[in-house]
Amino acid sequence: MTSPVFKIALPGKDINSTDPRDFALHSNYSSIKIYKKGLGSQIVGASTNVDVSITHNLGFYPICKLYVELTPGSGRWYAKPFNYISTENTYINGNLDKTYANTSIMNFNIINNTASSKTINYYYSILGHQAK
Amino acid sequence: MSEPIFEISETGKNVLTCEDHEKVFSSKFKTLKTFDTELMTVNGDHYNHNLGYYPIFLHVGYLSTKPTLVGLVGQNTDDNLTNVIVNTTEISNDNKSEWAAIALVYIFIEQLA
Repeated sequence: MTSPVFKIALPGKDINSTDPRDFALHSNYSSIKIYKKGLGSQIVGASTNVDVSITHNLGFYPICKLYVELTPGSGRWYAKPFNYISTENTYINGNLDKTYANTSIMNFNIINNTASSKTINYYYSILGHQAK
Repeated sequence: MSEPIFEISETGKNVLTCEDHEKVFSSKFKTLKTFDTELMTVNGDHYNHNLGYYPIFLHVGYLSTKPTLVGLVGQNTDDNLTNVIVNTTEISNDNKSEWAAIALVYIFIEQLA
């Protein structure tokens, strides 16, 4: 006996199509699910670095994405990774021991190399999709 | 007659009045459907998807020396790069550098453009 399939065709597409791109949903193919997303702010003192940790406790390695606004209110949201910006002199640590995902948390480390304290805004998304 | 639409709203939202981004699902929009997930070692590991178009993909890197951690999307893990490239038949981690990271690649059934 064949397994039942649940599928929803896109507008204008035939439900009997054999092309999976024609479906908004098809139970033969797992879709990306957003487990958790959020917005936060972190104060980072002058010439120091701070860890930001977000708990997910999924029990597997999820796909994680990070965006940061290095100057609050600037409207310039950088998707990690991004090139070093001398005028900001603040960046996300690329060391895997500092910025990573594991089976319980997403962690990232903000480095502020300026002589002033800075507030960093961030958006994160944790996709409920197994990365490893 | 207009075509029927199947939609599910987020908990606490009215599916008839909420914004599209407040819906868990809407048949008006495509979703990223997973074609395959591949672990690609460095320096030219290839995987044949044979989709006939350039598929959308995401990838994260990890290092065999730190097996309990994975990078965020696009992260250059410890300056070790994943150079994932794609064409209409295959995807590869085509890193020709000594600073190379293993890539965990997610291939979706949707074309880049």
